[in-house]
Amino acid sequence: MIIDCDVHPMIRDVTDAFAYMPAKWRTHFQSQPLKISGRADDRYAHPSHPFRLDAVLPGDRTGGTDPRFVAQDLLDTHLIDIALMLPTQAAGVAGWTDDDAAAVFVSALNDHFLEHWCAVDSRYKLAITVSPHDPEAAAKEIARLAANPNVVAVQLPTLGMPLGDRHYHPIYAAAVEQGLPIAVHQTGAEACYYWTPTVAGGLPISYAERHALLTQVGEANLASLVMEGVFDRYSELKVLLVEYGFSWAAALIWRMDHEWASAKSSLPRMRRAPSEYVAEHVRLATQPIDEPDIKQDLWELMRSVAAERFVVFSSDYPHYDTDDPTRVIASLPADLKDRICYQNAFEVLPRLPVPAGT
Amino acid sequence: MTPIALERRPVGRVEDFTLDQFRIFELDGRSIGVVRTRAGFFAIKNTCPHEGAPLCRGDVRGTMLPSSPGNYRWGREGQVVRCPWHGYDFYLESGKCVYGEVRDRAIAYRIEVEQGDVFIYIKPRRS
Repeated sequence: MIIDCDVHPMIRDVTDAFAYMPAKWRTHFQSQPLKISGRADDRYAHPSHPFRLDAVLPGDRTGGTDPRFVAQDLLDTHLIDIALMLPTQAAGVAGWTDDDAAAVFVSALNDHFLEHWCAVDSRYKLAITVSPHDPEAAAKEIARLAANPNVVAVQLPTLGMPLGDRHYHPIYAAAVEQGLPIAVHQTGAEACYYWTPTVAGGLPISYAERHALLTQVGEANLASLVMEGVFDRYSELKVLLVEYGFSWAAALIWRMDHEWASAKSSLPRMRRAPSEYVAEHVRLATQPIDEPDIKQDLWELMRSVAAERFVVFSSDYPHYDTDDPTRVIASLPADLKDRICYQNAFEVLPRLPVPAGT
Repeated sequence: MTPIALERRPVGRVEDFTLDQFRIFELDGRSIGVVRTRAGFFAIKNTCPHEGAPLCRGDVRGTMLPSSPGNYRWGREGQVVRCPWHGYDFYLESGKCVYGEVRDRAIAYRIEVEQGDVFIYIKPRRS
């Protein structure tokens, strides 16, 4: 049994979403075409190709546009039972300035992927995207689509304000009310625009420098969620952090637990050790998996913080830095495979249908 | 132990090969890409040694040559293939990873052209 917690369905261009927009917004997007990818290409140009070349169909500019091809190329090839879809173009609204346009766009993409992907293959399950700019509108979007059984999570793009901030509380409340976890994935807009997250120390110079440091965004947001008491306020909330890697979590958990032990007075909204919140409420996805020369070194480190409780498998198909499911899963320690391949994912995605016998 | 003799197999005429476009051959259960570039003919297994990507779906190119800091020198045009996934570069002739990020080599095969016919040398596999 394999659950892939990071698959990206893509639209070819904004017109794919037009069927799910009011007429005035179709006109808006036609007359003011917005870039529907998060990363600012004029600042951090990709040095080769952002998509796996073998995942880009003839005539397309991006991979991941055809649900039938992805089902064959990814799900059938690697025997993946469930794919959690995280639409990365929707997450790119983090860099937009028009809150209404962002809400309309993510809403249209939610409808598009439910109709054109989930309806085509039952292995596709969707994290609906909400715009982080307007929490009230986001809560309404969650309520609008939560009854659909193919909706299994809420994708929340990050702003330059950490996820522990009370700005996001209406979104967490709406997700908890519907029994949906929050999925947080790189938006691509990090270090690209005002009001999107940057990395510590200031602006990176190159694509590679920025890409190497994107883990910091996951690290900062995990610390914020835990240390601002979000999991005490929303005791049923689950959070899945995707494409931030996970090996940094060992050091962060040690450091947070140390602060809890030595500086509790500065953490008035917490009640327990940070490591306990992580194990109970948070899951981290494997891709991009770190590749030490001795692969087992990674798991020696992670066992020290009981990572078998919180790491889930992800491929990031169809991006260029994908992890090949068969090879990565084969490299996992035997006693952790079931936890990482599906058990931890079921815990954070409670709406997933559990096949008999698992 | 007696070394296994390589077998010579024909893979087409020179004019069958469009510049920098791999042609894929299934030879004794192996998927092998043959390509004509500005640097000659090359044959390489269609599997990246890093994570198993179809290597021959990648672009044929050159690479940066060793140079002093701040200077860029491009060379070896037609001697390198870039993996279609993670973008690691491999020399077509040796299969060696250009910058050493991937320790294992891609598997390269000897290739010859005689009077317009192209031949590859492989270890035969008997079923």
